Amino acid sequence: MPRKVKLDDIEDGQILAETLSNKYDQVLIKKGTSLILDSHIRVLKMWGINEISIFDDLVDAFSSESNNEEIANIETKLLEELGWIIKNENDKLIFDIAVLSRIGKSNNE
Amino acid sequence: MNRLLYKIENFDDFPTLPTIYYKLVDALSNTSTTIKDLSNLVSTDIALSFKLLKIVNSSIYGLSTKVNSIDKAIFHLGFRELKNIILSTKIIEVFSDVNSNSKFDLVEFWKHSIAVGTISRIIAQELGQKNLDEYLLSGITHDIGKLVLIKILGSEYNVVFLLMEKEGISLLEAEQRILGTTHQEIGLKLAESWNLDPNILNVIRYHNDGLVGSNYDQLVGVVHISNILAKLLGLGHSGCDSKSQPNQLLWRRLDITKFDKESFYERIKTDYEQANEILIIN
Repeated sequence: MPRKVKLDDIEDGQILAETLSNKYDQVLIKKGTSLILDSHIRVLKMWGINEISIFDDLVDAFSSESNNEEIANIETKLLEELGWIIKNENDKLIFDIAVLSRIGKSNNE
Repeated sequence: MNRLLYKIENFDDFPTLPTIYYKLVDALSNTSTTIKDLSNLVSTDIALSFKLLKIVNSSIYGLSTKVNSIDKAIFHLGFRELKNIILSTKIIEVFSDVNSNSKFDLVEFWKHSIAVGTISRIIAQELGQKNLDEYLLSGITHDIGKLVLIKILGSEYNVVFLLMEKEGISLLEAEQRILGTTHQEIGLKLAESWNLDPNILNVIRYHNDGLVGSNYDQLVGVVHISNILAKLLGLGHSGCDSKSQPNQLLWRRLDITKFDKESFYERIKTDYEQANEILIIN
């Protein structure tokens, strides 16, 4: 499971569990990045971010995110619902964003 | 002629844009007009001034400093964008008397249109376009004909939705069968009477196809894609659920594969929420 940690408690190699942005919505570090202490923490401090959500290691990231299975389910369902045949990278991007918007929603139902 | 078409063709109460808009168009066509002139004009409309400042200071613009005067807002926007923003806000206002009914919700309709506008604007910005608020305006106006039809026919328009659902046909086809005209045609008529730019007329007429005849037009193409995305993301509701696949011919000229999907999606959510808050009158 992802857990919240203070910047000072981060350890090398932990995986970021959320995409971090600055106040202008520019992405600083993407979800899934393996954290490198010096460089990443400097950026976060610069933007006043004190606490982040992390996975302890890759295994944790994969198993507890339930994501892979959930995403595959969403993709199958959505594809069926839409009846699209994804023909290229542009179609795929549009489709992936629709998938993104549904992640987490089925958990709340 | 069928009764509904008769009603449509004899309707003479098309909404008009407020005089401040036409004063603004006049001022903009005059080469000696200064920012001060425009700001004096805009300032006569307090609600408009308020909205303009909110928009310029929102995440949609993402300016790093706060803009607290109309002069500065106009300076940031530029004259052409000022006109597009004012049109966007005023068009939503002039339709505020349209009644929602069991099949059609005015607020949801505007949310959908605003979603199309904000997504179009983001795509245009990523593609390096300059006239971003023309993209916002295009989203606001793309389905404007639906509002005119509902203004004229009230809940009688619902027969179109019912036929569409029953037969599994497109909204345009259902309209053609029942009314003998479409929301695209009526929308065009209204936009022409308002003297809107030919670019906007193209959007109203061609956004479902995505191409202007067989030609590529970036504004029309981007609105086509954004309309599909807004529906996929469930942002607002246009009255029509169909989520057809993008016109494949578009992808020969329009390439969005370099977009980072997570930040694109986050930006859509933020801008959409802010635009709704500013533009929709409850």
